[in-house]
Amino acid sequence: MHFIDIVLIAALVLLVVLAVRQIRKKRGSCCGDCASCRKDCTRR
Amino acid sequence: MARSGRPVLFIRAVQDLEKTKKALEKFFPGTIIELILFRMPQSLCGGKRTHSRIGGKIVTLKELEIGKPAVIRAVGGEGALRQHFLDMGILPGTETTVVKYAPMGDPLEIRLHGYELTLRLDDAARIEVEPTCAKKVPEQSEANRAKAAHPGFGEGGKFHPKGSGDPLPDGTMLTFALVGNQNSGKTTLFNQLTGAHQHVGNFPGVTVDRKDGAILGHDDTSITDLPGIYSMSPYSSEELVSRDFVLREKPKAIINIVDATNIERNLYLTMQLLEMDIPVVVALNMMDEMTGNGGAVDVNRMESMLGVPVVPISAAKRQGIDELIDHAIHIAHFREKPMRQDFCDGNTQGAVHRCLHAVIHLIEDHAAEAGLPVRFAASKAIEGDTLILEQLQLDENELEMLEHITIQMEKERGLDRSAAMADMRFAYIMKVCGDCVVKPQINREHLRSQKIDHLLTGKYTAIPIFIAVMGLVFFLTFNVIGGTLQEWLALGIDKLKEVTDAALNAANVNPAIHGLIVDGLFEGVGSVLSFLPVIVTMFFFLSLLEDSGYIARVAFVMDKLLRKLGLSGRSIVPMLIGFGCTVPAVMASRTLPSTRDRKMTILLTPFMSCTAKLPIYAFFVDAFFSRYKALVMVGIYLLGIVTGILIAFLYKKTLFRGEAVPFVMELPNYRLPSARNVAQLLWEKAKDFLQRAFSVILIATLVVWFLQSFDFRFNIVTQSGDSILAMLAGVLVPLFKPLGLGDWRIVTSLLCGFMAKESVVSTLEVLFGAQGGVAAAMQPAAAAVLLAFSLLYTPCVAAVASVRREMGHRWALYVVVWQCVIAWIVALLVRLCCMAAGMA
Repeated sequence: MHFIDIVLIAALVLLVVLAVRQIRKKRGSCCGDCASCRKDCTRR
Repeated sequence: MARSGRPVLFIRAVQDLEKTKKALEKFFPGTIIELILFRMPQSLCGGKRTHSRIGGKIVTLKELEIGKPAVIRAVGGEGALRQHFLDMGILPGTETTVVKYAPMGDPLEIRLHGYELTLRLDDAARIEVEPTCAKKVPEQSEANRAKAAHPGFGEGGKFHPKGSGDPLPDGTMLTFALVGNQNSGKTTLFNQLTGAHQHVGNFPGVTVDRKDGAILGHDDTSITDLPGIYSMSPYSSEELVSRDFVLREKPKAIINIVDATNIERNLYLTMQLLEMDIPVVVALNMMDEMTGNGGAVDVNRMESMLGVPVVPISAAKRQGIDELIDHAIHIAHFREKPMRQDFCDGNTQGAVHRCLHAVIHLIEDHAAEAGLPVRFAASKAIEGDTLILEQLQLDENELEMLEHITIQMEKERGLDRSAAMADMRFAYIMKVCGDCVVKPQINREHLRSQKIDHLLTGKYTAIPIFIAVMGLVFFLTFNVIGGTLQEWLALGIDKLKEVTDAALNAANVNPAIHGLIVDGLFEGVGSVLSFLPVIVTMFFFLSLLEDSGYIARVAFVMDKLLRKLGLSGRSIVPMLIGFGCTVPAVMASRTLPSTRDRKMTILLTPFMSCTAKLPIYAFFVDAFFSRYKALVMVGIYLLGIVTGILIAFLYKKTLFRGEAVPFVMELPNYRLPSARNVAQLLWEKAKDFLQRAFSVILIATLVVWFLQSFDFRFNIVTQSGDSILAMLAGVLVPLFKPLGLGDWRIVTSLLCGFMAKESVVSTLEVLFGAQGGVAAAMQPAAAAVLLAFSLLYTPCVAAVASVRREMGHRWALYVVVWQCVIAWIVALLVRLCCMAAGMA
């Protein structure tokens, strides 16, 4: 395996991690339950 | 028995003397009947309900001629709808005019209290009016009035000496509720206060959920933008959200936004908010429009009459916002409650006043126990608000006493309980407006709207214009603007793919990684990305329709047609939004006042093809039907609409029997869409699409690439038919065989479409890439069947989640299964048609 392959794999892994984080951070309005809320609302 | 010895019979509200005489002669044969028309004293017939008024014939609002002024004499109906009528200002004694009828003859538009309202003919038939001569409006002038001193409410050093008062402890979070009528500019003000970019529109009910944020520069504050309400008597579910927030979460202060151009109706809610015993600041919005038309408000006098700070503002132009923030923070911090709550004195003979105060004494302990403001609870108890009565938990004696007090008030006041309470509030509003408001003689925005409405809601022009507008939107989206931009972007992405491919080859990258990047990422995500211009263009036009105020007119025009399907005209709003995205469409259904209408509308929105499905259509139409591009595109949308109509008929006969709720809606003035607002919306939608492309679609593409490149032993496969994906999807293949789609790759793409519709295209590109693309591997008939299935099968996971939030788990599951069943049946029919036409 070449160095370039390792760099590309690392970049792809980073891309996947960012994508998963984006999915987890559900977008929407505030539901009032801020303690357990993961929404990207205006309060954050 | 009268003094003359002849028997006397009193009959109330006789309208046709001859008919009544004949009926009585039939009932008392051989008796000489003599009818004398009496005008009953006000104390007996109920004040304004003098049916046999000299010179005026009582007719129903339905029978009133267009443009003829009349005075409302009685408001019929019952329950929440009647209460809503009263809250909207349809009260005995109010002047009204029929403006016009919808193109199909129903509903009608009336003007009262200086604003336009739409009603169905059946509901208008319940309102009795007496035609009158047009009253000359006395000329008001600001100069005629003595200057009122500034009461200084909400200001340190005036209302109480600086440094004194009853402040909250330092560091307490100051919570505010932003409350006001629908379409009064709450969200515009919220955006100005918090720096947020929430979407605003020009039709009643854009905001359907609460939104929170901190006031800019004041981190210890939290302001909540609530859905618009007309009164504290909830008529629809989003109104209940607002009322519950104020009652249960007890904000430290309320910012009550009042549309100054429609001040009478807006102040009705203010009257009720003042009863809540929470500090209130009134923000008089759209003052620029009011003064621009020659109107004026004596703010100092209004402030002293309402007993709360009043701040003139223009939310759109950011005028008066800083002053509003100062006042709001001051009243919240110093807990300055309204100075005045008693608006019932001066009422006819004081009947309502006495009744209210008697009930206040009666329920005082219960209200304190339930945590309800006592005056608010008393007025709601008198109106018979069941939710409040349940919370009060009055015992049998108290309930009886409440009923007796109320009946006595009704007798003395001559109006039923709800009308008497509404009349009491409006009487004070009229006094406030009479003393403080100089109404503009000419409202330029309204005149302009009237002229536009002649065309857009005209009897013969409304429907052709609606069809032309929608046709133009689709034509510009798919052909002229969106289509062209999409081709350019696709060319750019292809070029980038070629460059990357060459670079990876030159660097001698591992074949598996090379395949993942070129055949996975570029084929999958790249193909979806190219549709960004089409989606943005579609939202651009939808936002223009929304912001201009045209969507409210569409609801007015289409009500009669939708009623035949068992829906109300208001259902058209979520459905049109559904052409953009099903998620906000499902949420927009909250503005519908009945559960039945709401559920039915939610279940029908998936039939309005969303923009996420556009890549699928564009992809297949380009590949198979490029000669008839526009025709096939319009055909797909029409297929969705026609299927939706048929399903609506089915629902009307089975799941949702009965009639749609009455159509009561305010028609806003037309406004020029704000460039900033439209640009903001487009940016939000583009950002949302890009985030989806690089999150859900990227992951789906990578998973699909992995599953189709490896077998169960994690060896790279040479034939994709040996892959993990082929094995898994193969289980469902028999279900799709009758449709001619018995290929595991198509089944896989449809499964991926559940995550995000755009994934259908990306998956197909990845899976068919090696075989020279989808166009080489499929027949046009199979493409047509696949298009029909994609159009109708289950909405994406985000849409199903919003259905679950609105209707629960069962209905969400029902939507998934039912949409798949419908899609399967329609796809089969399309296949049979293709076979009959010799295509398959």
